[in-house]
Amino acid sequence: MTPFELGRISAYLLKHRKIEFRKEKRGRHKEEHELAELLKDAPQESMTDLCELMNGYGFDLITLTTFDVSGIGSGERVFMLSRKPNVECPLLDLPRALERIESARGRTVQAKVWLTQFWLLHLDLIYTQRDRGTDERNKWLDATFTKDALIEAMREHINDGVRRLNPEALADNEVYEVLTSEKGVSIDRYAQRFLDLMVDAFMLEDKGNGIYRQTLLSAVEMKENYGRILEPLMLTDREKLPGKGFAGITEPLLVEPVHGEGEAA
Amino acid sequence: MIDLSPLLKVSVRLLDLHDSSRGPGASTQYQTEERPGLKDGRYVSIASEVLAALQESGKQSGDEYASLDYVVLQVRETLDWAHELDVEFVLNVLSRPTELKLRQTDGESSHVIGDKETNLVEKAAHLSEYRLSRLGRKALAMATDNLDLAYIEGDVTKLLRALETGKLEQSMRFLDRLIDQLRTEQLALVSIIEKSSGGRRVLDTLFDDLENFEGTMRRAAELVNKAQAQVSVLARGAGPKNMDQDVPFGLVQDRVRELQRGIVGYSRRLSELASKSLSATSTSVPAPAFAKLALRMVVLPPNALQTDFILQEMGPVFPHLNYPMGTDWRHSIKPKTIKAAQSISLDLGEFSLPPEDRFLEWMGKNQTAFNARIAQGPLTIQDAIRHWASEEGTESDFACVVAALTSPEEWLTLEGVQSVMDRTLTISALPGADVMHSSLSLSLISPTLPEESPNDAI
Repeated sequence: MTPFELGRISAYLLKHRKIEFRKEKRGRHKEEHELAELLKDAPQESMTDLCELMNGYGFDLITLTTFDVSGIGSGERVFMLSRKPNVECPLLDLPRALERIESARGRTVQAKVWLTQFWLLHLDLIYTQRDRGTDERNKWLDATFTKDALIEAMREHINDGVRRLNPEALADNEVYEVLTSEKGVSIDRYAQRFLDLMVDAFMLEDKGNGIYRQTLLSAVEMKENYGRILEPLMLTDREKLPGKGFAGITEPLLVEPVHGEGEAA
Repeated sequence: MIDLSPLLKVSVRLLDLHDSSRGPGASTQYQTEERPGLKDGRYVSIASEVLAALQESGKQSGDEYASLDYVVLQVRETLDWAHELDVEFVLNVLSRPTELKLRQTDGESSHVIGDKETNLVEKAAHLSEYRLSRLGRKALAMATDNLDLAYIEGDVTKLLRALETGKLEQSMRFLDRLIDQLRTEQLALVSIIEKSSGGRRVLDTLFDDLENFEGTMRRAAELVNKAQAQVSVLARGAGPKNMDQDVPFGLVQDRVRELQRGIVGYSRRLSELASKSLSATSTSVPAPAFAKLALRMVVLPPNALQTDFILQEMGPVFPHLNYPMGTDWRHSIKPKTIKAAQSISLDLGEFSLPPEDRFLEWMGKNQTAFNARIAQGPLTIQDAIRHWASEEGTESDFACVVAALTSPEEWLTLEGVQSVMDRTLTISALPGADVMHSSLSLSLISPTLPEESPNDAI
């Protein structure tokens, strides 16, 4: 592999995050097929060079075959860039993603809140509600959900979870304020923006009719990075309140429903 | 015991389709039919024993009929609860020829035929004696065609033999089947390993004898190595002479390599599963609760840096818009080339000038003479040949004279010169030949005054 080819492959990978070698050429980018051929036939030392180059950018180059994960045919390969946990990748641009959620100036906080919350709830749909561990990469083909389900999950999260928290204990809490200021129309709008963003960032695939499916890249990154990035946040709770988890943390903050309210009147 | 369940599962779905009364254009919904049965699976169990008994009897006696007593005895050896009447009932059902309607395609036309050859057991006429029918034997072969990966060693041996005899087409069939089977099994294993992560315990009964199974895979890997070596032998052209030529050799090579990778990967995953099984602690480890984490982030919001970190590492992000890509310069940058230094003195050697250059050079020498001659009066081609091409003139001079007279616009500097061609032929003498040509002349015409121009105004 020449340095020029190495450059072309790395550039394509950085932009698209994956190169697939598929037997079926129809509907695929000509350049991708050409680069996939180069990668498939690349000598070991060139692959090592490419892996190291990508490591320098903050990515792991992962090669998957038909024996590793479902959705890859016999003789086919998928090469993808997974972000390395705890290594900041200087090539990635988070503000651009935030602008997709909220383009108005001075509303970065709102953008971050909605993005983070939607992102966690979509993970809840494709992992928690399916009793799927984050290592279960092989189940990516079945990880589908509908836009309506996501909206409903957010609505339920805000109405049954966030709004039931004690507002006095959450004074000056930006996340609480952003979510509770929702008047019923924002959720749909932000949900669509979130889904479009996820599709463009190669984390979700739009299957049409409001149905979305997790991409293989997303499943791979979840398997690779969950343990270092998100799991510590879960474990923090368990250490504080063994056996109770989140329910234990939020319990004192919940407003008890006032029974018999209005009866005195 | 013969496991009839795969046959039963396949049959029941196909039977649903066969018996469906759906008309063309009707709803695509399928109403699930209730098949309550006796809910104890009694008769299917007896059937598998009956078929096994008849198979054994057929082997021993050369397909002779076996008596009902013999069958009952054989069945009861395994199923002591089976009553004689139950066995007879099963035999009656198995020997019933049900007519199926099947579409048969013959060339371009297709038609429906009634097929009654559906009995698995044949009953002797007038006697209570039974034997397997042709279909019964086929069904048993299908039921015992074990696709279990535990038999991969034998399958790879078959592949090796096919390669040794140069039967590439057969090898490809074996390879396709093996890779497909290995992929299915391996992905199932991957799912189990992934499921067992986080300390979740896998079923102990998954592999009864993991160590033995690992040994099988190790031996299979050795056999595939031999197959790989055999492929190398074929590649050198040292294989059998009657090798299949229709199958691309590179394809076989690729597939054997893929199989080799698959088997090695499967063995590795088996070891991984074994180590995970040892460290597993519980059978019920819940999936991470992301919705609860979302609520937690409301109660105790992470600071901006933490949120950025999480989103940057796992959320949806894009690469920066402006950074150079290799493809940016495709077709726009050309390699620098060194220009050759210009020569000062040229040696043309035997290079001969093209005719047009020779003409321009010749005319450069004679232009003044031509102009002077035309100024004196009409210059005919006959005069021009005599003046410039006869006596000491060459073929090249002749060609130039003809070119000058026929294409005056290429060289004339005088104004108002007219070319006239008469219908008379003239012969001119050249040093080596005489030429016949038309009478062509160039002459100056006096300019037309404005008042002399025809006035066609009304």
